[in-house]
Amino acid sequence: MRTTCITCLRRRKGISTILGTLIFIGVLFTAVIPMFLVMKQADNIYVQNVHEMTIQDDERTRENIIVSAYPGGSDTIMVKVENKGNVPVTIVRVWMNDENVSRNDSLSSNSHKILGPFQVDVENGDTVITNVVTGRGNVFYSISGGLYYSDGQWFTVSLGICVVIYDPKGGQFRITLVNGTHPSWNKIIYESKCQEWKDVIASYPVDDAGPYTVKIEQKKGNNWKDLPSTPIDVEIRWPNGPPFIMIWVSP
Amino acid sequence: MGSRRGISPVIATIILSAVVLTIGGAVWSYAQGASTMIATSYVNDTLTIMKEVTERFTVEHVSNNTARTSLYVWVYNYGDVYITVDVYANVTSSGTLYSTDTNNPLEIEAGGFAKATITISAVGGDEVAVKVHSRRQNNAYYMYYMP
Repeated sequence: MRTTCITCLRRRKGISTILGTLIFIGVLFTAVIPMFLVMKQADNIYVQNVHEMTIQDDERTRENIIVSAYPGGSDTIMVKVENKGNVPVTIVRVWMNDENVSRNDSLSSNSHKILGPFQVDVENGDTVITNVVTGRGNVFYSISGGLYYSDGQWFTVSLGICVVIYDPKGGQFRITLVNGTHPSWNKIIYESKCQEWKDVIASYPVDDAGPYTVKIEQKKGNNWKDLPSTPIDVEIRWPNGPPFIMIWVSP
Repeated sequence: MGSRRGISPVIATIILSAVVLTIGGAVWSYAQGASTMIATSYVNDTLTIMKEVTERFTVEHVSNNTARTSLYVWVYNYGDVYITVDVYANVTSSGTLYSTDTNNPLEIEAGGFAKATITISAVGGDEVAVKVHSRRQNNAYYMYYMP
């Protein structure tokens, strides 16, 4: 009867298992783990970029600049840019109608800069609309609206009414604007929240020329009473008259 | 016979080891190739998606010619990646949709701006809805009132 050395066989039987395990570990460390590391790295770069874009988008929404275009001469325009936001702004372009000028002006928060003069090719009756573009892709239009050119003079074509109550002596005021053509259109353009000791200035842009009534009231106890010699009727007769009406009153 | 009896377990072990090494090497090689390919593909896909989510552009300015037959749209790429865009203009009164040549899209590098010209037919007072569509499926919109 033949016998087999079981101990010897058992000892040799483990070699393939050990080799298999070594190969498995080798595959794990040289292929699978590096693959996961590369993928993880790509994910990290993606998340980092998304985060950066979120910050950029947030900064973009926080950009707040005030652009005022005004004449620098008979054929030039100056542009005043005020950064009222809390992020620095870079102006990359200034547009005047369909012409643009590339710029690279940086404005820190709460600072201003005057750009120009910019040469414009205008004829009688032309209107120049100015806007500026920021590096973050915001477009801000001039608050003075378009500049209207006629006979060598510049005019603003923004229509509006400005009320100044000077020396208010601690009163509380409410200013209401009523459209004379459409009396149902009325707007409270100013209402004091507390006693006023400094001049009250309330400006309101209107869309159409025509008659308007400005009602100015002062708070007496719990009631609002008209100031003496008010309401005031005014009329914007643009382009045959000034586009902007100023009203001065004293309580 | 007694001396040959021990050969077969040794040969079996050697053969088995050789088989394991061969198959293991093949699996190893395949795994490395596959994992490299998967990782490369994953990274490329991630970078593509990253470009999609990080591209930023806006309609900076729109104007038209005096005959109102051409619409000019300036697109500003304020993102960090180049963009390829098509520009569409919908004249709302007639409901007609016009666009730039889709076979010749506008390509704008990062930080650049470019002008697209669309041939349209409109009258004064028409509302023109402008849409800039990137090849990465992002959009920017603008409403233009034909003077």
